[in-house]
Amino acid sequence: MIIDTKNFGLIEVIDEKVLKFPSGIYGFEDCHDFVLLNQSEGSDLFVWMQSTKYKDLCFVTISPFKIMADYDVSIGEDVKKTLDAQEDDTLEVLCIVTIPGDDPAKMTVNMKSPLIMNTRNQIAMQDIIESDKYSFRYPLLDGLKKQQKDT
Amino acid sequence: MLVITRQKGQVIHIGDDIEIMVVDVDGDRVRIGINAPRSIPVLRAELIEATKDANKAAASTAVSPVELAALINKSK
Repeated sequence: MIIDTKNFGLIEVIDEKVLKFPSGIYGFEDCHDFVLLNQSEGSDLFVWMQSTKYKDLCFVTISPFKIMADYDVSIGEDVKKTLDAQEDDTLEVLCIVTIPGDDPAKMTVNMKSPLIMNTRNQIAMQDIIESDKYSFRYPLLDGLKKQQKDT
Repeated sequence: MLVITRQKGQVIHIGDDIEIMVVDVDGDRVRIGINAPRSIPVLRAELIEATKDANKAAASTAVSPVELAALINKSK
């Protein structure tokens, strides 16, 4: 399948690589299919989550562990059920980045509502962590600096 | 919407598996206890609204991958 992307022009995607969000993501409940694009373009930090249907809908995402090594997303039974998670499945986690147009350096990461995906069947969902431990707007560059200092 | 008056300590059942108890009432604050199977997500409505708002804000990003990489490399 050929899709038109917001940042990378036309690209070919194999069907097995299409992520399926059965319930969409919050606020975009009718957007079910996305592909993850890792084009580095000078930094391997980000993953672009491009809608296969809407060219202009593309989220910048990041692995939360790159900015907070001890990030703890406990996978609840409801998540396991949605993802049809079995014993040996690998679940991947990405968090959505918000980049303010007037000052991109103030970009933040939504650590509170991680995207969780099952790499076996490509089923994905957006979870919400009920505890107050994580923020909707965690400063990305500060987190990154802190992380680099610690390692 | 079904509206039921309850007093502190009283319980409502929803189906066989869900139990909701009024734990405490203090002015306009009510503490509610919920017993539900772990497969049923229980979330405060404002968290869902905040997640929708966050997603919408993130979706309007106009920064290109090249600009973003430059920004990251500069901050290192």
